[in-house]
Formats: sequence, structure tokens, C-alpha cells
Amino acid sequence: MAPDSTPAQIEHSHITDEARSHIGRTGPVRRFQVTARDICRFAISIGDKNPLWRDEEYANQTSHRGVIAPPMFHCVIDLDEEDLDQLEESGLGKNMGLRMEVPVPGFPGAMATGRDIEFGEPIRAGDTISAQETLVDIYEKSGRRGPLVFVVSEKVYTNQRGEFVLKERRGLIRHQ
Amino acid sequence: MATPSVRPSVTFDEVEVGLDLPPLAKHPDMLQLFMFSAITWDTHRTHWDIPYSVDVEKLPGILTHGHLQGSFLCQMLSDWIGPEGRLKSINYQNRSNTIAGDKLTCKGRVTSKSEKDGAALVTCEVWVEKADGGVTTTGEAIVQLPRK
Repeated sequence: MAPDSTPAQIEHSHITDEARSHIGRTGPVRRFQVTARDICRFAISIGDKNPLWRDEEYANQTSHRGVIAPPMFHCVIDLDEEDLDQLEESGLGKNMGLRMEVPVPGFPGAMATGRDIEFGEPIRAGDTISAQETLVDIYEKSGRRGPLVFVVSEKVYTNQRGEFVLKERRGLIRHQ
Repeated sequence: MATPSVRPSVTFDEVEVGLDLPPLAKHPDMLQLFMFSAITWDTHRTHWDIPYSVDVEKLPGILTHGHLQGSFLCQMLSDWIGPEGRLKSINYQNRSNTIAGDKLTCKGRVTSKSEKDGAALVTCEVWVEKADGGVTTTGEAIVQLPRK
């Protein structure tokens, strides 16, 4: 979230009816099979040596009864795969999810806000995780350097038993 | 490698409001940003391409991913609560850019304790600081702790 944003006195809205019609849209359900190797590699990439993420014997002695993935492991399955010729010069994919699909004319800039995550069942090797994104909100604020449009989506992850794994709410700030 | 013994988890009763969480020092460098980009399939050049980041995006270096900092905060929390604690939620906002090579420290403090549906919950404010004391990320987390 932009530190310089304040509750706005919006004189005229930058949110078009077309943009507003995106609220409630859902993306496709994506599925991903989790391996112990993915979990181990993610733990290494964040520099986290907790044996709960990789030592089966250790993890079996805990109430988890086995290795689980670190909390932010869903980052591994968050981004869509795209072919090289589908990437922009910046390296960003052309298909960046529902938040980038909302038209905000005159607001070419985009930056991420933080994330708001609620955790359920942990992810384990062997799980098949399903994830689906919904566009949940669009609102505007005036920042120090001009108006800002916030596009918010929510992604829900479940496992192969239909159990709730996590819900993540993320905003994208569009700026001029 | 020998399996480490399971250390006792922190309990709800021994935690008091105002308690500082054990800080976690992190020093993400280019190699780590590359590995995190690779495993999360994050192709954005701002995380690995120095000439692009500096010349095109006018950044002071390559950017540390916001969710890598989120991962560091979760690591601090899971280190603190131990295997019998549960991270229930976290929200965080990235406030300013952090670049490869910055020395970061994750910190936290207990702000409240509550009980809900039989679960003993502890709320903590959490943040990431740079070596100069500047705060790059702020947030709040809720953990569930065993009682005894």
C-alpha cells in the first residue's frame, strides 16, 4: 500500500463502468501437484533451515505428523507459466491475472501492495492444490503524486480433499 | 545428518503483551533473489537484470521481492512459535524498495492475546528494518499457541 495515500475527496471517478463490471469475475481453476523437491527448493530459496520443511523423521515427531511446506510456499504456484515469446521486455508475462485485466485508462503504472493471507490446512508433498482468483474490489484514493486506483483480488487455495488451504487478498495500485 | 530433537514450543501462558519476538537477520543477495525468482517462476527483470533495473527502471539495484520479505516475516514467526504453534494469518504492506545486498532484520512484538472458539491466539505487529533503521515492510500476524 502506498504510504503517501490518504482517504480521498474524489472529484470525479477514474473508475469506468467497464472497470467496475470486472468486480466478481473469477479466473480459471489452476491445479498444481506439490513435490517434496519443490518444498525443499522453496525453503532453500528463502534461507529457512527449519527441519519441519524437509526432515521427515523430525516432522513425524510433531503434531503435523510429517513434513509440511513453509507458509509462503503458495508463491511457487501463484504465477502462470508463459512462453518466452509471451513475455514483455520487462520480463513480465502478458497474462498477469485478473487485476491487470481491469482497464484503467490513463493509469499505465502498476505496483503491488502487500498481501493479506489467512492460513488453513498446511500444504504437503503429494497434495494437488487448486487455486482460483476472484476480482473483489476497485477503489480510488488520492496520493501525494496524483490519483491512485486500487484493484483488489482474492485467491483461494484448496487441496485434493476440498480442504481450505489459504486465502490471499492482494492489491494492485494503478498510477498515472 | 542427525535429526534435531523437537524443542518445546512457546506456550500461550508464557507470552505477554509487549514481548519482543526474537529478531531474524536476513541478507538477501543476488544469488538468493535469483533462486527465489526461479522457484516462484517470477520473470520480472527488476529482480535479476541489473542493467535493466538501473538503466531502464532507474532503480538503485535489483529489487528484493515483496513476498520474499513476507516469507522472511513468516520464518521469524515459525521460528518463534515452534512446530506446535500455528500461523493463522499475516498481512503486510511493502512500504519502500529494498535492493539486493541490503541487510534486513525482521522484528515483531506481541500486541494482544485473545481466545476464540477455544483457540489461544496471539496478535503481533511485525516489520522489516534496513540497517539504517528504515522500515521497508510492516504488518500484523496472528498465531495460535498451545496452552501448556
